Amino acid sequence: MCSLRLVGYNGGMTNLAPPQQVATAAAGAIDAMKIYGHDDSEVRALDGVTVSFAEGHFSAIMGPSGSGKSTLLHCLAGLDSLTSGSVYIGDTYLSTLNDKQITELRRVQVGFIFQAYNLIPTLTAMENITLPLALGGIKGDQAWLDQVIDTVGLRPRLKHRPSELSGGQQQRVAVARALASRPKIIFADEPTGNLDSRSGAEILDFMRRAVRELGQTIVMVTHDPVAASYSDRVIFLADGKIVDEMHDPTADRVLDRMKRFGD
Amino acid sequence: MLRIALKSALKRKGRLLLTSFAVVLGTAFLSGSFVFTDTIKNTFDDLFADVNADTDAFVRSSNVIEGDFGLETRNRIPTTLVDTISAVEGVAVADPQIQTSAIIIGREGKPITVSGPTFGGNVSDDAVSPWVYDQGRAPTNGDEVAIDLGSAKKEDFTLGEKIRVSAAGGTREFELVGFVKFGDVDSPGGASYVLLDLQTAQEYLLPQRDAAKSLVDAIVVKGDGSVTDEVLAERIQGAVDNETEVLTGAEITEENQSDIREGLNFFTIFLTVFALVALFVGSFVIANIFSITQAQRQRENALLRAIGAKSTQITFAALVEAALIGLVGSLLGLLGGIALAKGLQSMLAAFGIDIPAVGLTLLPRTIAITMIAGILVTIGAAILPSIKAGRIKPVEAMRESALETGSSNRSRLVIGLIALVVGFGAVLTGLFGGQLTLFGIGIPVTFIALYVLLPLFSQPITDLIGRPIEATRGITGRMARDNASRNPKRTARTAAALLIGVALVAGVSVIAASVKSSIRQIFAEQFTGDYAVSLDVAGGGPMMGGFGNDFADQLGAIDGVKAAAGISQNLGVVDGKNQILTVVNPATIGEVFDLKFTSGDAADLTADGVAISQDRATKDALGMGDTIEVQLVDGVTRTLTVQGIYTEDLLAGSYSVSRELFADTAIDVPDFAIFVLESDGANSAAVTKALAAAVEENGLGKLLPRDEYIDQQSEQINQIVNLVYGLLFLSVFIAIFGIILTLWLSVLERRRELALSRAVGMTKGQVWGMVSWEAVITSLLGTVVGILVGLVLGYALVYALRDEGFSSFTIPIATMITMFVISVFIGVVAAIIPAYRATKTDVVGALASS
Repeated sequence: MCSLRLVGYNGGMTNLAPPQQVATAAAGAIDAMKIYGHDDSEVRALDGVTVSFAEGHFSAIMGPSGSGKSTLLHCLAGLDSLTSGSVYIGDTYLSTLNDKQITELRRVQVGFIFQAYNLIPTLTAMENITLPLALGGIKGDQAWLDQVIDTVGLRPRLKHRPSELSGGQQQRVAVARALASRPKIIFADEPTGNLDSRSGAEILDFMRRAVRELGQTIVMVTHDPVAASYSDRVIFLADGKIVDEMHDPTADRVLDRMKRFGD
Repeated sequence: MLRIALKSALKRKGRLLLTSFAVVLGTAFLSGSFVFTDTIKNTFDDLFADVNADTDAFVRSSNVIEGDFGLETRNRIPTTLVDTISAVEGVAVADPQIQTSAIIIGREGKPITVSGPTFGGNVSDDAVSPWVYDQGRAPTNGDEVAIDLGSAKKEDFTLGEKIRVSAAGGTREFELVGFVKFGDVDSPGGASYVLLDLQTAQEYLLPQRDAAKSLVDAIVVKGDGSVTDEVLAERIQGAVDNETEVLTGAEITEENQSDIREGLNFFTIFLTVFALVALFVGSFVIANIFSITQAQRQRENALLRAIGAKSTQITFAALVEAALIGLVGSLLGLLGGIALAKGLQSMLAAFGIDIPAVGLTLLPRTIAITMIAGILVTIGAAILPSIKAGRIKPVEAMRESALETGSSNRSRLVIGLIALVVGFGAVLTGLFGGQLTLFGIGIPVTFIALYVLLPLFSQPITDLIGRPIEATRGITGRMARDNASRNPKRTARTAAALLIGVALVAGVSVIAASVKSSIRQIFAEQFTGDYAVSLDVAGGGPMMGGFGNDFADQLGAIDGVKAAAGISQNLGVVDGKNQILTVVNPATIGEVFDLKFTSGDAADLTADGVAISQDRATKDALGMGDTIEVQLVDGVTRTLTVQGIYTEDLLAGSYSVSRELFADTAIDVPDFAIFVLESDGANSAAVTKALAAAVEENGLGKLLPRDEYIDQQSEQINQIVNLVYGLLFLSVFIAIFGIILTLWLSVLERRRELALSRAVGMTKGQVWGMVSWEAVITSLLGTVVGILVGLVLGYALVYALRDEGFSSFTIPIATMITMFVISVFIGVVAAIIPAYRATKTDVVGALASS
């Protein structure tokens, strides 16, 4: 434990390149610990998670409520910090960065799709899509933007504000925004949680096409076996630990695995 | 319900405290002005009771004319009355008293700075003297003088030193033989005092005319204790004629005390007006905050309604919170007011106005007024939002997000326009009809109308203001602009509080600039001389002493000087009304001032003549050769013949008389300024040098070339204007609180989108920038509209008073630009707390809670 704690400690020794075996990883965590509270009331949201997400893959993280899947996602994305252990995006350890650097890294290297409240209500769809670019003061690659917008089919709605869009359309804008800066990795937190199944399927299809056709990397937290079935690989979390992994999942297999958590 | 209300209010202590600050400043000013003036009243009451303790009766002339601002000119009584009164049974001491003007000239050769009048008088008999010799002794001959300790300290004078004094008898040198205190203060109310022996005082301080020889201003009497003061006064009254009045010691003390009170009343009213402005602005802030919080609490209130609360109970709960805010605010304000009074006291001390160090006077009345005003203003401001809160339908509990609903735009427009017409109508009627009260009521009503109307017009303005910000600041500027215009009501109401202060400042600055340019214009047109010698003494305006009349003649005799005209003012009663008489030397005045005579000429004025303005002639149907009855200060009525009519009356007023009119009276007519014209072809440099030397020797005045004199005259208004700006900044300060609170509430409300922005790459710096620019837009909205309103109000006032001296309307561009710059600064400062809060938004927490 002692040496592992050192990894999370922001000392010179820890500022190493990611291990050899994850050299092609877009992001990952090494012995990630996230502990809330102290002593008696201590809750281990993440209890020594080591995982890597390969480039060009669509991964899903599943687990029962309180398993730590959202915490893992937030820590991987640099929205939350670990108690110990480390996370990296590309070849950058987040613990070596200050808040401004992490924010700028998120802007360029990370895309986000949340369950709800994904868009700034005062901005148009187009402005929402290019928001991370605009915050960085860059125009972005117009050809790529056009491709993304056409992929999600938003061209006729670009001047609309979020309140004038349906839930599914809003999530498509969110997907387009996540793709806009051609990030290293996209994190999606229950992206279909608030959608009806048809819109949800549409969004998942876009995400899968982003991986297959545009070569993006996506990590998605979900509790929906159908959503998970769109991914290439499912990681199962329980009590802050990785307990299982499934490649090329189907909805039925995932559901079976999930049922076993209930026991 | 009371308990729920209190609990919910106390749960948000920070907001409660911050909101209460909206009333703190107003109530602090209110209580501060009361505490301060009560304290001064108390100390002066004690002081006069103390120094008059030995005075049993006070004898003076009953002929008096009262001017504006508490100035009065009273006739003198013969010194022979001293013997008459001494002979009255029961009189132990009858001490003649002279109290007129004498100016001490300091080491620099200029009059010493005083913050009160400059008095000269005689040494009193020990039995009745208010003076206490701190050092030295009383002057006993014509070469000696004693002065007040305050003035001595200012100039660091030492006993035995020679100082110069200027009075009716010219400038003279005396040896300092004593420093006196008035009771236990160094100098009473910032005045300076020169004490001479009686004979010297009479021949040197009084007008240099035969009629003024052997007169005194009053006789102070001490009884032998055999009868009461009342009986003593009656006996003395029996011995003198009825042009002489006799007051008891208690009466003169009471009169002295009430004079001070009257002087202070002006001060109290002045401060109270600004306290009311501050409370008014505070009420806007509170109304706005309540509208926002009640909107944010819609679901909570709807839930309460759903589980059975009556709408009156919801309203009641909101009003309880308002009362609590008012209570906290007024309590803090009361404490602040006491601190403020203490501060004002030390400020006066710094100005050399010595007030005996006693405790502050906090009357129950002060506490009551402060608490009631603070609580009522808060509840009053919260009433409409609270009623609206109660009107919520239970079904709203199911609604997604907080919406600020309200009366439709149409009824808002109608109500706002009606209020505007009523308010601005009252302002105009008040201005043009000369009714100050109507004007005073119209102003706040106009502001309320703007508060109602502004949300309807704010959006295009904020969009416009936001455009350059968006262009230069990119996406954060864009988001700031959108945030400012997404809730127009909120932004407009927040800006409205600032609007008031800005409008008042802009209005005052317009009026001040117009006054200045009018003064310039008037002097430029009427003043035809080359130099002016003005009194170089603070507080030494007309009727407060000045140059002896022969000084103008002395300047006139200088080689190369064509004419030197001294001007004085005095009071006279015409048709039962007190009027200012401009006193001139007919031989010279026409050379330096062109009053545009339509009939007659200034040069033709004789001792029993008068020149009147065209307006006066028209009003009273007077023509050349007609006569008017004028009663002078000595109580004697003269019949004067109209010998000239002029049109330019802004400087000369309605009546101008020759100084010869006063030749056989004892009335002081010192010149407050002397205007000089060079002869054609004179050597200017030599004339300037000779004039400067004479002025220097006299010690009272300042020689200024024409242009500089006009500058000086036009800039006299700066001091009062700066004071008004300072006091108005108070209301701007409160408006800043309003911006802080509103933004804070907005930031809390927008935590999800802030979290989202942070997640997708907005740095803390960018968050800060976004909030700051929103604050700047809000602040600029208030400033832009405020300046427009101020310009309109200022123009209305200047136009209404165009015949009273406002000959030009001027917009002070530099001041306006400064206001814009300050406005941006205000936005940036106001944004600090909310922006900090915004950067601290818990990203994960805000995104997780759905």
